[in-house]
Amino acid sequence: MAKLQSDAATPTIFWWCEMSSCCNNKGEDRSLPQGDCCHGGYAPVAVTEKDVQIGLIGNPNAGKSTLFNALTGMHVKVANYPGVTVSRYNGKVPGTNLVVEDLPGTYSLDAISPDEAIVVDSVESDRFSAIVAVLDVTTLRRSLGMIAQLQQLDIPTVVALSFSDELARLGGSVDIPALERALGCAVLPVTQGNKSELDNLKIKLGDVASLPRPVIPAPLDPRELTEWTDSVLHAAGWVAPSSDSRTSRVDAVLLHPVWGTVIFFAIMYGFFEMIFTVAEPIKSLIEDSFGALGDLVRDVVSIDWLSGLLADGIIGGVGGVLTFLPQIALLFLMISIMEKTGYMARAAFLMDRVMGKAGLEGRAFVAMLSSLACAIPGIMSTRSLPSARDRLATMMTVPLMTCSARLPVYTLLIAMFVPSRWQGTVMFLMYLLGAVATMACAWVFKHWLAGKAETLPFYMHMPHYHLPTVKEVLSDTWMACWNFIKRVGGIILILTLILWVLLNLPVAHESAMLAAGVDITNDVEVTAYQLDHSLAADVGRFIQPIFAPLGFDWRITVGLLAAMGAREVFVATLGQMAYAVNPEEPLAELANMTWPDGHMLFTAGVVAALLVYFAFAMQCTATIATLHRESGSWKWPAFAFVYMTALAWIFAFVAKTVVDLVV
Amino acid sequence: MHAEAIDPRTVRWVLNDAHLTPGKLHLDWEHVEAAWCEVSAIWVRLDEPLWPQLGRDIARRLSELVRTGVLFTSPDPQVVHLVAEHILGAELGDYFRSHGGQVELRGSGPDWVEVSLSGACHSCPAAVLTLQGRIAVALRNRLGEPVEVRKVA
Repeated sequence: MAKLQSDAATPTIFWWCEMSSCCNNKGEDRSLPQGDCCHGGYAPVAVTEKDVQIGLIGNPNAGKSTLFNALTGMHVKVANYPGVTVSRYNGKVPGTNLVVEDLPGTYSLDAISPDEAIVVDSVESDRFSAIVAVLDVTTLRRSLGMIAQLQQLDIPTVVALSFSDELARLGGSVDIPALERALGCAVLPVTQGNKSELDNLKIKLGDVASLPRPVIPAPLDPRELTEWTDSVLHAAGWVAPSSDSRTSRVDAVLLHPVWGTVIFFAIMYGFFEMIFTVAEPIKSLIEDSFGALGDLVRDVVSIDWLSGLLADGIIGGVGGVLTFLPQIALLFLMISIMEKTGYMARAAFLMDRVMGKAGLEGRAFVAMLSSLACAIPGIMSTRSLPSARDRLATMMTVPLMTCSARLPVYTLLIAMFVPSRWQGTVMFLMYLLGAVATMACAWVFKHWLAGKAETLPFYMHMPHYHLPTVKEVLSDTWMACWNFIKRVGGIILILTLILWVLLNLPVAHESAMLAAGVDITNDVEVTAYQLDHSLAADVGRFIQPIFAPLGFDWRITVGLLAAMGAREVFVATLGQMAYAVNPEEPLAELANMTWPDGHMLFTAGVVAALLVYFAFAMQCTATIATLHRESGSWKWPAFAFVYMTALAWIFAFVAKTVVDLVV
Repeated sequence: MHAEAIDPRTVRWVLNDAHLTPGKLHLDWEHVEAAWCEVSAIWVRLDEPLWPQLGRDIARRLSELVRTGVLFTSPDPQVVHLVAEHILGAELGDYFRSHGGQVELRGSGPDWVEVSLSGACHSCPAAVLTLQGRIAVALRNRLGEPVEVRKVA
C-alpha cells in the first residue's frame, strides 16, 4: 500500500530517451570488465593520477542529476560498472581536475536493492577523494539518515542543499552555517541555474584535504538517530515548508479513490480519442508527400532495381512507419505533460491499490509506466525492487504493456478497419488490455513463484503541481520523436531492406510469368507475381500453417516474422508489399488484399486476431536481450518468449472466433 | 543531541530541550580533563584527541546523565570565556568577516566580557546593535544570566 510520505521514484518515462540514444537497439550486451560499454561504444572518462574523483550521491528526486549535468556539462561519458550492467556516468568538470561520478539515486546506504548496493560498494571502495551528497532541503529530515550512514565511512563530504528556492517559497528556512556546524561537514546551497553557487562548490571541491569532517560520526541506533536529527535540525533553525495549498486542494479531488480514478480513466480515454482525430490530417499529409516522393524517384531513377529499392523498399516501407510520427509525438506529449505537471505520481498512487490486488507494489507500477514508452527501461527500472521475486515477476510481464512500437501497428489496423466512431475506443481498449494482461500475468507469476509476498513499504513522492513550460514539454517530446526517427533510420531501415531483398529475389523470369498467364506489360500483375514467388513468400508459406487457424496468410506471417526485430517493421513490410503493387493508394490496396481464391484477407476477425496477437506476443529481440542481461540467464527470456507467444496465439484465436460470431 | 567539534580534544555537545545550570561540570570519567555546562550544551575536553574512539560512549553517558538529571555543576567564570569565544568565532565569525571586520575577546569575568572591534567593525555605526543585540543576547541565552558586553580599544 502506498503511503503519501517521503521520497520515492517519481515515474520517469524519459529514461527511454537516454537509453535508446546510445543503445544499438539490438540490446547487444557488449559489457566487458572495466572500460567498455554496452551503450553505443562510449569509453569511460580516462582518469589520470592527478584527477580528483568525486562521488555524487543523493535521493532520486533531490536534483542530483541536474547538479551533475551542471557540473560536467557535455563532458560526460557513459560506461559500466565491472561485472554489473548498471550505467556508470562519469564526467569531467571543465576547468578543473575533478572527475565526478553520478551514482544511482538511493534513499539510504542500506543496500536493499541492487542499485543501492552499487552505491554502497562504490562509496566504500576508497576510490573517491570526496563525496557530494545532494539533499533536498525541503525534506531535510529524511535525508539526514543517509548523512548519518555516510559519516561512518569518514570520507570528506560536502552537502549540497537543493531546492532552497522552493523552501523559501513555501515559508521554510534554514541557517546554513549553523547546519554546517551541527553536521561537522561543509554545506553549500545549490539552486538550479545559479552559477555562483556552482562555482563555490567547485572551489570547495578543489581543496578536498581542507574539508571539515565530523569529529564523531552520527549515531545509527534508530532512537539515537532520531534524537540526533532533531538536534541538528533545531540547531540549524530548520523551518519546515508548509504544504502548497494549491496542491492540497487539487489533490483532494485527484487523489480521491473514486473520483480520482474516474478522472484518470477519463483523461486516458480523452487522449486516445485525440490521437486519432488530431493526428489524422497530419498523417494524410505525410502519406501524400511520401507518395509524391515515391513517384519522383520512380521517374528520375532509371535503374530498375534501384528505383524499386528506393521507392518500394525505403519510401514505401520506412515511409509507412514514419507516417505514424504524429501519433508517436502525441503519445509522448501526453506522457510528458503528465509527468511534468506532477500528475503521473498521483496516477501511480491511484493505481497502487489495484496493483496490490495483483500482488505487486507501487515500484512495479513505475516499471509498467516506463514500459509505455519501451519495455527496455521498464525492465531495467526493476532494479529498484528489493525483492528478487518481485523483480522477476515484474520483468517477465512488463513487455505486455503497450509499448510505443505497437502504436503504429495498432493505428494502422484500427484506422483501416474500425469505423471512425469506435477508433479511439478500440485504441483505449488495446492499452487497457496491455495493462490488465500485465497485471494478471504478474499475479500468476508471483503465486507460481510461491513464497510469502513480503511487501516492503512503498513511499511515493508527490511533487507539488506546477505548470511546466512549453519549452520543457516540447523538448521532451522532440527527444522522443527523434529517438523514434533514429530507430526508424536504424534497425527498421535495415530490416526493411533485408525484407525488400527477400521479397524481390529470385527475380521472376519473363518466361515463367508468361507461362503463368501474367500480362507482362501490366506492372501491377508483374509485381504481384514477383512478390508471390519470392524467397520471403517461400518462408512465409512454410510457416503459415501455424497461423492458418488465425486467418493469417503468408504476407501477414512474413510481417510477423519481420516484426521480431522491431514491431513497427510489420507496418513497413505490409506497406512495402501494398506500395509495390499500388503506389497510388497503398492503404486501399492493403485493405483489399485477398487470398488466392479471392476472399478478403483482412476480415474483422482477422484484424481482431492480429491486434490481440500483437498485444501479447514477445516480438522484440532487444527486449529478449535485456531480459537476459537483467535476469542473468537465458532461461527466463526463453520462457517469456514461449509463454507470451503461446498466449498470443490462443487469445488471437479466441478473439477471431468471438468477432467472427458477433460481427 | 549532536556533537560540534571545537578542537581535536574538545567537543561541544548540543542538547535540544535541556535546561542545565551553567558552570563547571564535575565528571570523573577516564580521559576527561574538564567539562562545562551551558544552558543547553555540554563542553567536554579530553586529555588526548580520542574522540573517534570514545565519542559514542561519552555521548550515551552524557545523555543518560541529562535524562536522570544528575549533574553537579559549580559556578565557573571559565564558562563565560568559552561561550564568548565560541559565539565570536564559530557562530558570528563568518558574519563579521563578510562585513570586513573582526570582534575579538579581550577579557571575561563571571558576568561580563570585554571585546575589541577592528576592521570595518571599528567605526561601524551599528556596533552597539551588534554588541548588545547579538552578542549579549547570545550570551544570555546560553548562560542563563545577563552578561555585560563592554567595548575596549
